[in-house]
Amino acid sequence: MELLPDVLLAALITSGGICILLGRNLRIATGLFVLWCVFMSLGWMRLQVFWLGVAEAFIGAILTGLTLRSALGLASSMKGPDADDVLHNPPSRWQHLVIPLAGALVFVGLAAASGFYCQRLFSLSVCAVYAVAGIALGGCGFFAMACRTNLLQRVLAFNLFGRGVFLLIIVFACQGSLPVDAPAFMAASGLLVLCLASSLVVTLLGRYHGRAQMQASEGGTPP
Amino acid sequence: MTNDPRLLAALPIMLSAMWALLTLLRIPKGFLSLAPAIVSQSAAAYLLGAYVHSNGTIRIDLSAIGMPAGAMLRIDGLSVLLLSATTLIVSACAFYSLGYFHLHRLQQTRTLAREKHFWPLLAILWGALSLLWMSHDFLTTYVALEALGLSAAAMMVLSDRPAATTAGLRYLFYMLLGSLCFLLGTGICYGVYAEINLELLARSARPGGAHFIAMSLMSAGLMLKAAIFPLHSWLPDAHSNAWTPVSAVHAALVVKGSFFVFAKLWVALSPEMEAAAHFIGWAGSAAIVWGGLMAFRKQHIKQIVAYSTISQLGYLLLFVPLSMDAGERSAQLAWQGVWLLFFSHAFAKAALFLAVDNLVSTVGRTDLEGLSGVDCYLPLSILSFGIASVSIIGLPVSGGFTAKWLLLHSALLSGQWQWVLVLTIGTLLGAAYIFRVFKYTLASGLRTDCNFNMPVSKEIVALSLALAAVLLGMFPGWPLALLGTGLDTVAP
Repeated sequence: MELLPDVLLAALITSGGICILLGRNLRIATGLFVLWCVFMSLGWMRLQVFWLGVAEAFIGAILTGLTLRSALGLASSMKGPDADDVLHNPPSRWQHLVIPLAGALVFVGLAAASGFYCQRLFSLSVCAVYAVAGIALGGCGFFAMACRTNLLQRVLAFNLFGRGVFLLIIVFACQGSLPVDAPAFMAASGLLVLCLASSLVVTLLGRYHGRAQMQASEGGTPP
Repeated sequence: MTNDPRLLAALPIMLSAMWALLTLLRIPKGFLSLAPAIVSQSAAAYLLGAYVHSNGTIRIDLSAIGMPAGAMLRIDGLSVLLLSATTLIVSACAFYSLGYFHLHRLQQTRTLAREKHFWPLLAILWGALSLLWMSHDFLTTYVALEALGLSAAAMMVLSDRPAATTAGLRYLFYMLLGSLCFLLGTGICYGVYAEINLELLARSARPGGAHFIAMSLMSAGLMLKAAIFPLHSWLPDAHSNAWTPVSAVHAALVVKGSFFVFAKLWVALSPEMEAAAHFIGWAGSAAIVWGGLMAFRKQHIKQIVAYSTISQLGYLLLFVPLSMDAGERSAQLAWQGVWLLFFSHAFAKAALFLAVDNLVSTVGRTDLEGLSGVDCYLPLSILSFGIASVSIIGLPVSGGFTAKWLLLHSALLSGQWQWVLVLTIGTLLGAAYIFRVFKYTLASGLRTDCNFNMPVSKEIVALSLALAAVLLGMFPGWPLALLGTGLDTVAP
């Protein structure tokens, strides 16, 4: 019974992540992402890594959230022909579904197997609850990262995938009752890297947007 | 001051940070900004080398400055060699970029719009490389790899061409995926062994399911970042579209940074994994053959150079099976051979990229046919291309030849004949794609459409890097003595 808050939080994190990845409306998805990062930071605090929770709230909810919101105007122009430009070649059904699915399944299998090997992962504990959330997030994030064409959706997907991995590495340390400072340090630097990478992609989105606008104005004016 | 190893180890990183700050503020410009950075970094590398030479390996416990327990810097002969090679290659490419930007300014192309971002990113990349060569635990390695990957990805998208942006974006996504795989592997390792330090992990590593999963995740992530076959698909586009100094540094050092971690992992954490080691060896062989064949088929000259990188990275993997189940002597030979190949390829590949850019920016075309007859106008660049190719193919006398000789010797000693065959095929393919380039460039033809404003510095830099690769083959004694044996790298 004492597990109930953790189960609820993990369920919220998982379902929220899936909603973010499925959402077609980018405005709602980025707003949801900010809210989701707050839940994530509560999750870190439940796992006894308080400062990582604070880092998540600052880097995830505020910095990454702001970056993504600033890209909303640019990203809407990414639908349509420009998406092909980003993907380099139009995806076949094979690239679109089979490879992402296979990759996600391999990820889920490896993560679950390593949890099984590590120690008693599937005995009911706080760790196990968050491990399941981490595996689900990682799998869905990988799938979305590989099959989405819209750049902003891909950014959201790799943010979620990364956080799934960070959850897993913290859980692996927790369940062996090891000090979590080393994995927490890695997770914190990983959060920073994801934030910087997101802002790099948003900068490039701006460049695509500018080019598309230039082409539109050149094409629009009569000779 | 020169007696405190902690200060000495911090020196290269602090110098890079200072240079990054100065270039960000753009206080001195051009050569005035570059010269102090090169001189001070060379001095730092020299001081570290002298300290390691007289006092042996340096170990610095980072938990004293607030990092988690087990975080450690370790500077041995290999790190000193890598630091010196990094200083040499990055300085050469930075010096070359002065001429590169000058040329583009003369041609009034729009390339220069982002020149101001190039220098701080190069400084960050330099610092990240220095940290990576010294790191000996998962945490520092991860931080260094991420800083390296991010700055490299940002440098790749400096170019204004749409193809470069697309290729850089792909590289960024693959890089993130690779480092997250690596991170998951390290997390599993920590969960099983409660250690992040490679020296301590090497003692407690034991075969098992979790160990196997952790090793395969870490290896796959690093292979993706190092563009090792079959996870190489991002490399040819990225290298052929980025700015030339960027692709030169990337092919020579950044890709190899991930290989460095890969090699350390396999030496430290591979108890009873012969089958996996042979699998890695066959992946390397496939890379050698595939890269060679693709390089032979391409018309775009920068793509030929890029595919040649994939092929050469394959040779580096051969050390995994060679050092696995063989005698001590052959393992040592393989270890020496692979690092010699690492260095000579770094010098030769950087020289190749720079020389190719000299040719391409003179004739204004990138396909092979466009290059015909260029040897009359740029004999020095063709000469550097030729000297660098000698090392890439592995003809005597060059670093590539000596390295392949050592690998061959190791394969014969350990009785693994299949790698002899692979080395032979790879060398023949290398000769084929290089001589195909010469068939075009040495064809006679009078050109009138050339741009003759080539700064001499661009040609000199390419030539000196190519000569460095050859000199490495003539005098391999000093680097080989510093390298030691593979087992030293992890011995407590």
